[in-house]
Amino acid sequence: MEIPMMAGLFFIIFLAALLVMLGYRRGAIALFLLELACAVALFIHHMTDQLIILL
Amino acid sequence: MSLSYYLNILWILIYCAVIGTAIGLQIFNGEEPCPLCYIQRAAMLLVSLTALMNLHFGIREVHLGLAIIGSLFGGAVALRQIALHACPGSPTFGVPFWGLSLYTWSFLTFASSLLMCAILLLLYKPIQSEKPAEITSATKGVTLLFLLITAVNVVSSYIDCGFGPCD
Repeated sequence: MEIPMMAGLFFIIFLAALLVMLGYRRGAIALFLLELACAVALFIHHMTDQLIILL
Repeated sequence: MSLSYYLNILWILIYCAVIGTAIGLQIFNGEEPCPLCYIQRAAMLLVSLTALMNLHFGIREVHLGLAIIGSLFGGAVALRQIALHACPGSPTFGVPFWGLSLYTWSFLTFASSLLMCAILLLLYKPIQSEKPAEITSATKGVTLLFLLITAVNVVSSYIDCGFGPCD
């Protein structure tokens, strides 16, 4: 499975803030949800890695 | 300006100060952030983004709902990191700040964000959302600060992790 990169997470937030500044509310909300999905995927990736190390 | 407006400005400023302190510790104290720390920073920026939406588009239930989801996610990541170091004998990660580790502070900020959402919902009036939000100089200032803090994190995480998940 492809894991989203960490720098990409912050870049998506940067783009979302730019959209907010330009007045695109729906676009910013869409990027928020995309960002959240990527962050959850990264969290699960790191959590399962740590569980494997602990086991 | 309403009390909600000032609370949203304060919300963004506090999160920018928290992330700014973490970046300061990273640069001047050599405290390299772990992957979970980066994810918590991302969650903090997500929650601040909803406050930014409140300032630019007026307070709406959708923004506060997103803030609650972001706070719950960030709190879960912080709790996970606390749990990793909770066992007796396991060392804490990083230098404590005012007696608490940074991830414990992080958990407290997410809990405070939930409280902030509750206060904003108590102050919420549906008529407010119909009015176009007035973009003040303070709003422009916090927006630029937010963009700056996010850009620093893009560069910092790229230097630390490159094009990867930061393993």
